[in-house]
Amino acid sequence: MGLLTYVLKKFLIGIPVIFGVTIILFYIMYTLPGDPIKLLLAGERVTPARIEELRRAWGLDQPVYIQYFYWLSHIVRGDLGVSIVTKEPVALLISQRLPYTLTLMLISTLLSYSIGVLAGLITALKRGTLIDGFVSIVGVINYSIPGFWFGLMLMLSFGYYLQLLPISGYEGPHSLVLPALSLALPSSAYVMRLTRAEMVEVLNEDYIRTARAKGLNKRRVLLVHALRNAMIPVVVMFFLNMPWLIGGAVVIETLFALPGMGRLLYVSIIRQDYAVVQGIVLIITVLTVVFNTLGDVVVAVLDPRIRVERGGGL
Amino acid sequence: MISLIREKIKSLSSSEEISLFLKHKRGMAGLILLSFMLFIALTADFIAPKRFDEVDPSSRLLPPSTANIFGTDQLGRDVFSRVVFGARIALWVGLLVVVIEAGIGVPLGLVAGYYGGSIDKLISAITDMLWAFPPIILALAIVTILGPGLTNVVIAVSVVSWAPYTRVVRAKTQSIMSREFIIAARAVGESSLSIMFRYVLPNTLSSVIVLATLTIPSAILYTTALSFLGFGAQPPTPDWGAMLNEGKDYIFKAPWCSVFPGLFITLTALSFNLLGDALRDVLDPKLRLG
Amino acid sequence: MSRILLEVRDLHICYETSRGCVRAVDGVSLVIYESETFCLVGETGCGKSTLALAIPRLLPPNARLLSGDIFFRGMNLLRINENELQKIRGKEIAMIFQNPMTSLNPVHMIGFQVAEVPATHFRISWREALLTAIKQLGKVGIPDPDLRSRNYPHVFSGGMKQRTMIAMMTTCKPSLLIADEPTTALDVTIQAQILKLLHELKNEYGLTLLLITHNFGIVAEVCDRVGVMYAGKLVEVAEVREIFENPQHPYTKGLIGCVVARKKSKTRLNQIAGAPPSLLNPPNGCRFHPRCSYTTPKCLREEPQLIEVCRGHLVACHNYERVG
Repeated sequence: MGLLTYVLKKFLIGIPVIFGVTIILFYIMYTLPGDPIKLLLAGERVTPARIEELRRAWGLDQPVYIQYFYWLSHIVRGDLGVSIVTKEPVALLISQRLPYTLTLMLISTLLSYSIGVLAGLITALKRGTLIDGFVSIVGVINYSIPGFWFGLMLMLSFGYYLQLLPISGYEGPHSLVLPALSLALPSSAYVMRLTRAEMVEVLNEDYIRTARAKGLNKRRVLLVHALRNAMIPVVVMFFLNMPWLIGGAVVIETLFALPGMGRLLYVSIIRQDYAVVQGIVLIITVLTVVFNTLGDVVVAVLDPRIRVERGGGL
Repeated sequence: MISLIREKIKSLSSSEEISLFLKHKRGMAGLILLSFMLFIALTADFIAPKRFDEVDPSSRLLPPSTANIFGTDQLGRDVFSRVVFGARIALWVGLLVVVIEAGIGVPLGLVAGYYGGSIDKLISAITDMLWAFPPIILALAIVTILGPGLTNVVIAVSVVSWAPYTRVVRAKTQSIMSREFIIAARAVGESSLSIMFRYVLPNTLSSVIVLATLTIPSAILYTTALSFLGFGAQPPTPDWGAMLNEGKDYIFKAPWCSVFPGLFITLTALSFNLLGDALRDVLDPKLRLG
Repeated sequence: MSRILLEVRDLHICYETSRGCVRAVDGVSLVIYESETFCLVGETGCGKSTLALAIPRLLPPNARLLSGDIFFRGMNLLRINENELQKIRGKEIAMIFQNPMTSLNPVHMIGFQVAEVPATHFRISWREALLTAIKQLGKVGIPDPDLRSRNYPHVFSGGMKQRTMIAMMTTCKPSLLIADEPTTALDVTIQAQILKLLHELKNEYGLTLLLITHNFGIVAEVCDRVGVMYAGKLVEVAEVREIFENPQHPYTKGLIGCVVARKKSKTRLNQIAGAPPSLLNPPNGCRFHPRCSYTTPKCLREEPQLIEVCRGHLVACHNYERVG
């Protein structure tokens, strides 16, 4: 089995997962209190006959599984329904907001990874020294700070006292600096811990001693032999962490009033705009599956033990 | 269950693990910090100069002073008193979430590890899926269904984050299953249930204790985040997240309303993280959460 | 005998642990001559692997070199800097480890890992280094070396991995090859093949082999001279015939007894009573005295020194005359 087959297989596994989530999502929305027709009419006075007519027109008189397939067929065509509040198509709303969220996630991931990997490597290589102790303690503290409170403090210091960066709303790319920092802080600490743990473990491996016994210089031992192995879980975490960042983005975007998908989710929950909530959760599910699959694929590319080699092994 | 824990604690105190822990500087720092938080939570009625919901319209948004050392909020309530009472909520919530998580995750892990086969595959698939999904989003979805409130937030957070327990207990169970004393227990005809709870469970306990200590901070962070968004504790509950939610509207006029609750969330989370890291170093150095 | 290749002088090494300092090598001196096969024998934990790892300075980070010198061709390996050492490792002094399963890097191809050695030590292109590597892989008995060089280690069996290690460590035709229990982790049938391979390469390249083992069977088959270690000390050194025919130390005698008894008769397996001492606080006097059947009051008081009892035969025992 080659790499390509492996990748295809991994992607195919993702499909039933997405499918399963759509069933759960539909069922949750179906059982939610509140009659969708009444929400649709938004207090408009109509006759019961008219309600019945609308019910039939929307297919709400059908059994639940028919309704599900009806809904699913729309989703497959990219029709996520219409927002009850703004009457705009959900797909449009999401597609307008998603770029902000993805940009935010990307910036904060780059930030947290550059800081986290660097700090993790330093602490691993200087294990047991004062630097290690200091950076590790800073790491635990960062890990304990709630991102939203850190965001508030950044707002207060950089936005209000120093007046360096915008406090809320989106005025341009610099509006993403503080939100990205708030989102990056806890995950940088996580990346640091992971990098340190992996590196410390790899440096104790027998093959590192072999590399040294070969007469390779320190740099080559570290880069070609240690780092190459230690980075596999760290790179994979890069992908697995992405969906988790979306969760953080909801809180941070709401705090900084950014026009991203996270804030849209928050606003829609408050407004009981369930079609939008449903659409966003679906998108997040798809993104989660995609990122997880990418993670699996990257492991397979980086770690030859995961793939099964062509030709027989002895 | 309680007798098991008692036995475990007895076996711990007699071993060298206690002395190892006492030498762990960061662990001790965590323990001291946690004791401090526990102390103010337990004695909140005596420490707090005022009740947490005591409104005073004449002294709104006052900066920290000798009368109100953490200042007052938009309703003239003493921030210090509210923060002190908040410690009770945070610790209680953290404990509750962890107990529910362990209550769901540990038995599932035991069953998956003990029986293996298709039951294991099913449980593992659910665990993996849950693990991959962003917990905040899932918790939000659940809160949307259940409605806002601290109890619902506790339920939502516990329901979405038990996966680590299942993973760890499953792995431990698998490794224990091949040990002689399990084979012996089976040979003398002990029932599966009895083997799981009397032989396997006690051996997973140290991992579960470490895991619980390390998941309390994330439980507190998640619940306060949801309260911060307004889905959790409702006013006038002095929940730290809810306080931040109210305080953020006055962040520039009265930053003290936001600074102190957040600081206490950080300190509480920090105490558990330090303690948990130390417990892991001492009890179960190979435990991996990622 | 020919020229001295390696000389270890009064080497002391300890491991720092949470419970104190473990003196793994405690005052060992020995000499290895060019082109010989020297076997270091002893039970697990007697410090023989520590001694071996100390020569190319590959000890784990918690090991402390307390004192002593290691001379290789007159150069003190413990005094030169890391850069000079790197030029010697893999080129002059090569080492093969106990566990081939974990000694190869899982994410690099076999050919790459072997080729790194000539590429590091010779001024040749990467292409040439790869060709050298493939040739050497063929030499150590890997079939289809050209194809196999593009495999990753996980598809290789234990024996193939150890062959790869041997290829890697012999591409530069080193003067000294240290093999730290090279066959312990392998199947019995493979063990003989690997030993044969080492022996052949030794003869072909004229290299000196320092073989660490706990198996006296291996000693009898391939060694020229033998050093016996017990609890961090060298207790006896002699040529292989001399050791088997005329062991002078009670511990050596016991070890040989284990092997010989098994071969000669069907009587109960001979064994040395008791267990090796803790190196945290070893017994006073002679470290073997708690397990020895020749113990005298002097053994409890005074530590015996290595003395030459006849030409080339050293022993550290107060009562060697009674033993022999």
